[in-house]
Amino acid sequence: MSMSLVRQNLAAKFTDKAYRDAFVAEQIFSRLPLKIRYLREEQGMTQRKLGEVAGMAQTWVSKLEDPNYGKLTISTLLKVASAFDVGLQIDFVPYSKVLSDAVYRTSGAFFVPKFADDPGMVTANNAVSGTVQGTQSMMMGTVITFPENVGITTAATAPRNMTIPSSKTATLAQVAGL
Amino acid sequence: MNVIRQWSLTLPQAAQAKLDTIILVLQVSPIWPWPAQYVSTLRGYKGIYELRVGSSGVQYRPLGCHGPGKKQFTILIGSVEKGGKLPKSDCEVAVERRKIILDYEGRTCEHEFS
Repeated sequence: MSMSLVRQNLAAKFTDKAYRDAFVAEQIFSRLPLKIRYLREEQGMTQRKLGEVAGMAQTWVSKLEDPNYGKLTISTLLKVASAFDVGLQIDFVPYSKVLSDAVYRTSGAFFVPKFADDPGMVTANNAVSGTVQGTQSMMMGTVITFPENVGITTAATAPRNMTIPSSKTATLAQVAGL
Repeated sequence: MNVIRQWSLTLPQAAQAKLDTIILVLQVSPIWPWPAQYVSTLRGYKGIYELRVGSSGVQYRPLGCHGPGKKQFTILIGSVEKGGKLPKSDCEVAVERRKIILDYEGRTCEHEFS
């Protein structure tokens, strides 16, 4: 069966609110435990070792790898992400994205490089270990550029180019003259 | 007639979602054999495995086997734990169906997710 047909069949089930809500939940509670186990093994950690790094007992790690545990919390996931030295994204998205991600996911999606091995962070990693070269002027302010038509409702409209003095006591409201 | 589809459609929506998700996850699992928290051997019934699908306090246990082809797993019967045990008759049906599908591949079809 093609994956597009699988997606089509599952999309039909999404018309039921209870189903689609449960599907979203299971993408966390049933999928993440396998990813936690994979990342743990990939990084050569035992459950006990992961527990030590994440600050939790081995028995908790065992529960985190159980798809029927069903009580993963954001704070726990943050601890685990930190222990693996990888990022964690939690966001509100359309159901269509949840479904497509679930159907078209490949085994490669389970692999997540640690910060030090992240190819997208090469520059940052080099900068950390390197020396800043050249003479630099002291910056006297930082500029925040607001996107067009941003829907911020305040007492006054914030200027698009806002220069904030480097004083720690200045607040956005003071600078904007609110 | 697809006996597995017939069974899965009788499940509550949350259980269906969990079963669908677990199958999707196992299809791309980089871990092999699958972790026992997801799929475990059924003690006393050689070659039969149970998918561990717990939902709202009910332990759904689709029973299956590896095959008939390489990298294939066939769900043979849908079962539900009662008092911590699976009905013996369901396990025996799984054993019978395993023999049938391993002898004659034409008695299986792709999982439909519907």
